[in-house]
Amino acid sequence: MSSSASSIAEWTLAETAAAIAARRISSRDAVSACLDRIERWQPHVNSFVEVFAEQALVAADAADQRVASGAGLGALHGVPLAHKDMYLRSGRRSSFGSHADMTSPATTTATLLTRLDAAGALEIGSLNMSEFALGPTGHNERFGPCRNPWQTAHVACGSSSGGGATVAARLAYGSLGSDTGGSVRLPASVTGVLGLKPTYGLLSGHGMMPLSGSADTPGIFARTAVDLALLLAAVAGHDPNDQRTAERAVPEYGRAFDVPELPRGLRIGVPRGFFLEQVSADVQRALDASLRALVALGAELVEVTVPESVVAHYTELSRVLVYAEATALHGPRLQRRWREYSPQVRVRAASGLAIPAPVHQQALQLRPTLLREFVATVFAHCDVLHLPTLAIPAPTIAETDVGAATVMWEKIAMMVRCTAPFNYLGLPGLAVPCGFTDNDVPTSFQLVGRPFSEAQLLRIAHAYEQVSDWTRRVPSLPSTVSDG
Amino acid sequence: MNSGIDADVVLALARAQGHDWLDSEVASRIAAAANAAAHAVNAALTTSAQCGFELAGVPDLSFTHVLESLADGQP
Repeated sequence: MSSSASSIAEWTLAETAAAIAARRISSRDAVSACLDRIERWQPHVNSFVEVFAEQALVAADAADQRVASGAGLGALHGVPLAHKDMYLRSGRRSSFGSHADMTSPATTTATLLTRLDAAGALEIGSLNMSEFALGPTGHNERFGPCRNPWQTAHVACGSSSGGGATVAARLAYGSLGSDTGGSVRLPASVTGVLGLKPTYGLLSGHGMMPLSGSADTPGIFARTAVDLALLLAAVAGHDPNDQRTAERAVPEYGRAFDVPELPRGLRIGVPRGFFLEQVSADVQRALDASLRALVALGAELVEVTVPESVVAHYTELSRVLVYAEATALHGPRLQRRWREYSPQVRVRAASGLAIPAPVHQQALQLRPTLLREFVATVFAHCDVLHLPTLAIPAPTIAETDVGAATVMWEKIAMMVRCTAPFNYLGLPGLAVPCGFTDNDVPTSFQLVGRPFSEAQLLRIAHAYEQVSDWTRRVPSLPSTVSDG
Repeated sequence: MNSGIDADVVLALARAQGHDWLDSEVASRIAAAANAAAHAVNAALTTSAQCGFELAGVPDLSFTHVLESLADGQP
């Protein structure tokens, strides 16, 4: 493949979809470009657990025939994507990132995959992830760690580790992950792509490996806000197979970009206290620079007070839900097959064994009340919150390779400090690349809005993209394979 | 934190639930998680405007419906 053909993989999803529809390139060109990059990058980043090369090329040829026939095309027609290996597709076996022979070939297909299929998207492979989505570092005992494409000795974070690394390295144009405590936003943050945890109930979890029914949220990785809007529009909305999904009408997310400027009078809330207490100097520099850029675009900064008496407990309340529900889910398997879990994941999956039922029930009952208090307190004074995604630079794989030691719990708590609270509250969070830390790994700010305010978050991210180039930067292929 | 649940309690609970694989080190971690959980819920109940029976009437409304009621409906 010529270098120019290979560079198709560096186009955005929107550019690629438009080029396929206009017959400037074929779907086969796009798939081949991604396969070419996967071949070169996979030894360095290990973001795929399986590549569907032949199937993707067959599907691409079928997509090209449809273009030639003049039939109507979906918004993602012929575009190759790749998803976390926990979305079921009928007839296929998903690993869930585990040693355990968890599943027979699936007998159903995840609603989100069905909707992407309907929009014309192709699937080019399944992506690496933390075992059973239980861990924010991206370590995986069975498949090996997913590595950060910017610095391969560093983590790509998790649990949707493969999603960030794959989209950042331009191996696919977008990806579905899942976010139960930060598992899309954290990998997006350290790989320099956008990562959305939508409002709880916006996306269907039918056919997605469950971890915690109360906190699980499917999420999306994309290179730009426009790409993310295209993907979100394809998958959002009520699903009769998932009673958690909202019945409200889905906005036309693409309309968020009709006006390229920020909304007039946009008030961006900058929280003081808890969320900024442990931010490193280099992350803070990037956050401050992004705020200056947003002010230059017309935003007004508002210092907001989050409910300090409770905010420190949001993360723990989130854990109550996740641990109790994950243990209920994994308990029967753990009894008999605990050796098939890696030591760290074994402990995490069993962490709900001693959480009393009343405590879990109270955490659920408190949730609407605390959400109302948070919305009333915070969004009375601002339209969105601007805060860190990951308060520290991405650590190295070696630094976080701590197994089940006590230090593991401290590292996990530190990593999800700014993300897990919004899983408990169910609010949407969008990680937006805003620079690099001193170790030359990307970092981001996180926008958090009212329930179902995804279009507003995307509009702000899009405006910021117009005055920054972070999302257009592409990592260079490493010269040697890291063994650290 | 005053610990109400220790490793021995966890081991007993685990055995009762058919988990014979736990050792005392794992049980200590799980005890810490359980105590942190209880502490967080207690703290939230104490500081929240509503608590106890006042909360009990709420769960009929699904959490998704609560989120929908708090959306402002404009992009």
